[in-house]
Order: sequence, then C-alpha cells, then structure tokens
Amino acid sequence: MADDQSFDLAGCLERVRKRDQAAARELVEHLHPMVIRIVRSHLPRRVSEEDLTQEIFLKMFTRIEQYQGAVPFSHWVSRIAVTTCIDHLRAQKRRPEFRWADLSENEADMLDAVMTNENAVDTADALAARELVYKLLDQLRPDDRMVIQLLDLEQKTIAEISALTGWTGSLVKVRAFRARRRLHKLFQELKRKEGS
Amino acid sequence: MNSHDTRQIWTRLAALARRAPADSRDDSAPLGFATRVAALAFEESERRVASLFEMLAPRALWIAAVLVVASVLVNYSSFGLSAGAEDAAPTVDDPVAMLFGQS
Repeated sequence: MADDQSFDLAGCLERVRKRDQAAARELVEHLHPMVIRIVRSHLPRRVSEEDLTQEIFLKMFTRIEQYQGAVPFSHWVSRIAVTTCIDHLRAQKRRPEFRWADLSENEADMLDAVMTNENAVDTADALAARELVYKLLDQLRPDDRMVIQLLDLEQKTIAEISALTGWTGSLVKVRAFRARRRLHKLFQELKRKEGS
Repeated sequence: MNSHDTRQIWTRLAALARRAPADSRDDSAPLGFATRVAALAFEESERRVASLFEMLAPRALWIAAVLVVASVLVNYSSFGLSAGAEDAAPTVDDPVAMLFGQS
C-alpha cells in the first residue's frame, strides 16, 4: 500500500467525495493491505476479519468529509481501524481464568523455558511464544491489551500509540503499567499452579 | 518471583513472539470486497439523507398545521368584518345602465 507511489490518493479522495463508486473501490483496494494487517493483529475472538475490515471501511467513508488533511490519510484510516478493533475488544467478554492446563504442550514447554531463562529457540518455539503471548494478552483489559501489544510486540513508541489511539501519552503509560502489573500477577499464578 | 523477574519473562516472551514468521496470508482485498464496500458506503449515505427527510417531514407537517390554525385564529375577526362589510355595502349605480342611459 505505502510503496505504491503511482496511486493518486488526492485525486481518488476528490472523486470519492463526488460520489464516484469506481474511485471508492480503488481506495478500498489501495488501503486493504494496511487495514487487514491491523485487523489481524488485534482481531477479537469470534469476529470475522472480513466483517471487521468492512466495518472499518464503512466508517472511513462515513467520516471522509471530516478528513482535513492534517495527517496523512493512511494514519487517519489506521486510527479508525485501531479504535474499531478496541471497540470490538471491549464488547467481547473476557476469557475465564487462565490455567496451566489451557496451554498446549509446546506453549507449556515454551513458558517453562522462558521462566527458567533457556535461550535455545527455533521457529516452532517462536510460533508457540506468539500463541502464548496472545493467550496472555486475552487476559488483559482491552485498552491495556492494545497498549502493551503496540508497545512490546509492534515496538511502537508512546507518541505513535497516542497518534493511533487518540489517548494522551500519560494515559498510554498508565495503561502499559497496569497491563504489566496484570501480567506479573498472571505469571505468578501460572508459576504457583505449575508447582502445585 | 518478583515484578522484575516477571518483567524479564514477559520481555523474553515478547522478543520470541516477534521472531515468529510474519503472517504469510494474502493481504489484498478478496474478490468483490471493494465493490461491495463501495456500494454499501454510498447506499448508507443515501439512506441517511432519506431517513433525515423522513424524520423531519412529520414535524414539518405538524408545524404547518399549527401555523394554519394560528393564522386563521389571528385573522378571524378581520374575516368576519370584511364579510359583513360586503353584505352591508349599498348597491351602487348600475354602470351598464348609466353608460347606455348617457348615450
């Protein structure tokens, strides 16, 4: 999407504002890769990625008259995508208590290795780690989850997260702190249950 | 296990998760997706305009009715007077008879 320099975004937006359906189609096709990546990173359980992507694009078209060009259009759309994902994460019920028994064999081995500071890791371990990370993230409040995921997995800065979510830097830090405290408790519980 | 330990565990886990292979799924729009979304977007905005009209039309009708009633009430006395004045007006000379009478 971003590397497609030949795409005339300004012209396309102008045509969309004049209700040109072909331009709207081009805009969706142009932005889809960026939006689907955000959706796949923050997709709540039991929500179809296509439905969520469609909802994001419909919101974009509804608000397109409000876009003033103060930020790049892709940033503006990213923000809509992130806030829509947060709304869906808020709407879903939190998972029941996280137990050691919920982990697959790979994930349990992985957690054991990480807790005992083993370093040997291959691709399968990385995949197991990712699965485990997402299970842990599911235990967090949606806003806290979003912040910690953007910070620690996508390695965004506080300023970038503020721009994406519309939250102040202080709020982002508070949510990161709260998420880490919750993760601390989760690890403690897992350690205790593993031992028992 | 203190918070520093768990912080390190999380940091290691997150670092490992980042090393997982990138999502290899196709990220282009599925066939027909863009067409459907574009059609829905324009249909939605037309529906919003129509629903705004539907919402305002009954109110406009009520307001118009109230204005009609109010204007009749305000001007009722003048309607009565003018009707009475017409009835009481004396018959003036017949212009046709006068015209032929003069000739």
